Amino acid sequence: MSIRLRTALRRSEGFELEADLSIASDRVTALFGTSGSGKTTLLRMLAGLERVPDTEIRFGDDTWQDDQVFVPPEARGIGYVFQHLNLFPHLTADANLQYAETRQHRHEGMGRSEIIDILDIGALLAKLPSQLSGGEQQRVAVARALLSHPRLLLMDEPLGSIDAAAKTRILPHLQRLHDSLSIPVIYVSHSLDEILEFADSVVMLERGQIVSESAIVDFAVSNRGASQTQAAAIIRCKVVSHEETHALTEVEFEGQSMFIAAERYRTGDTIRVRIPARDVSLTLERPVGTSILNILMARVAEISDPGDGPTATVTLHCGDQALLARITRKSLIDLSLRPADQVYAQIKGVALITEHDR
Amino acid sequence: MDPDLVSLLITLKLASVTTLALILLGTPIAWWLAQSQGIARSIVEPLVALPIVLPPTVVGFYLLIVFSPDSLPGSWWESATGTTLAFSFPGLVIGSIIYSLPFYIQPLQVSFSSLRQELLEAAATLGAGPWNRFLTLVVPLCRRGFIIAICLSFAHTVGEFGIVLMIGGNLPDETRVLSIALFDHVEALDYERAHVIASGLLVFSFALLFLLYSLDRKWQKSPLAAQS
Repeated sequence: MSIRLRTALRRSEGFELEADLSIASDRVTALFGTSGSGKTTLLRMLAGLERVPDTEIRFGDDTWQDDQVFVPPEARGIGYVFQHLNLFPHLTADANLQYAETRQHRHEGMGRSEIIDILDIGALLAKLPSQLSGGEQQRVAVARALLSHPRLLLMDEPLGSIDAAAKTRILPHLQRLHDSLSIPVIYVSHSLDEILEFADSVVMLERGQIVSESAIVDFAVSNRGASQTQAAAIIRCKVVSHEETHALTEVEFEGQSMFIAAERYRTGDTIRVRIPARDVSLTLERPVGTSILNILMARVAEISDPGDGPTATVTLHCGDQALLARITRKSLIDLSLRPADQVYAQIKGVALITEHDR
Repeated sequence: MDPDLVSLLITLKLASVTTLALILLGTPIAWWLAQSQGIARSIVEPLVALPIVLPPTVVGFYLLIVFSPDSLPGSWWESATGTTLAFSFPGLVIGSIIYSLPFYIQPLQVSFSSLRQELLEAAATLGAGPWNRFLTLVVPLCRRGFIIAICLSFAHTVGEFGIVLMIGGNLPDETRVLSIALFDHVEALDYERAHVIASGLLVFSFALLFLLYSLDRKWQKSPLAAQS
């Protein structure tokens, strides 16, 4: 599936919006950039909410806008979640959902009960929007957008107008949603954490131009890795069970088990975890009698030795996923590490993306 | 039938027809005024408000000239219907529409302006076309504006005098509305009948405004207050 957008929109000297996106049908593509980079404008133009002259927009084989054609938003078959709370204030949450249901863009799509379950809004249905918190309203708004059975879901900073605590509560729902969606999603945000949690690939915008497109794993490494001390890997795990006595959650990562604090998630949920390279140390034998809880068997994939300074970064492979370890160059020589060696990675800090220290 | 009763019926008919015409005509104008900016709006907005400040006799005088068979609209009407617009019920309706226009448009325009555009955008992305959005969102969310606009233009039409006198004259079964009948009774020193009409209009006006204000207070407390 590809989305092409070409326009002559000029807001100021040197600002010209141009985008040629190709998006996977079950993937979340994040549009990332500072405010003023054109990301919201891009999204509104895709939705047909902004009509900029001399613009061409194509969605797959459909033309949404060119010199002759302008398909209005109601005929584009999209879902849109706004930054500001935007439920219809005179209708209950349930009636808001019905508004979408009676005007569905097409037959195929997620069912009502599945959507209500994933976003956990069953108890909110009888209430008016004014009786709901910001986070609850936004969950209903996401459900409403999905119930219209869109071909493309556009989200404009959906967590931008709710507070940090509500954000932490809503993210597991979005994660769960991500695993059940089969349509492309374009997610606009300037929050790195949200993107690391939710996106599969990242398009960086600067002054209306796409400056980079990368998969989330590479993005996490490259962006945070700009300063070596910040380098981190993003890995995906599945929640196995909660250990109430120790307030820990057992997760499965490429056939191995780890323990993290993630009691907000349900068994079976896929979650993303951030492991800073500086929190990973390596041993050749499985260590015993250690306070380190999470020890993973891995294979050395790549050693990046800067040639000077005290540290080097080792990329490790665990199944299909990658870890980063920052160790001293002295240890590198002492352990005589080579690509394809088997090692044990001791992980000191494991945290959900939204809960790491800033 | 009692001539005052006939006047009452004419008055109610005039106010109803005028209000209905204003809903059809004034709503799009109010919507356009709330949406648009620029030179066209800065001309139309004071034009709509003119009847508030202009003496009704001025409006009536110009309408009389436009209605005359010597003018283009007047002669067109005469060739189409065989009657003149001046001193006729249709002429009265046209005069009332113009005179009550600001009382319909202004409350509605305020209401439309305070409607959040993003709600309409959300409805559009959910598949609702322009008419559908108007009926499902604009009407219920701006109901306060609509009700105030309808009540004010109805009451204002019931209470008009100057324009009716100028363009409607005083034809018993055609254009003699209550305010004119009242004037006639006073001129004839028939204070008894004058009292009936005057007190009736007073009670009607008070009751309407009382209803309007109490509805308004109720809506201020409702969860929709911030919206409308």
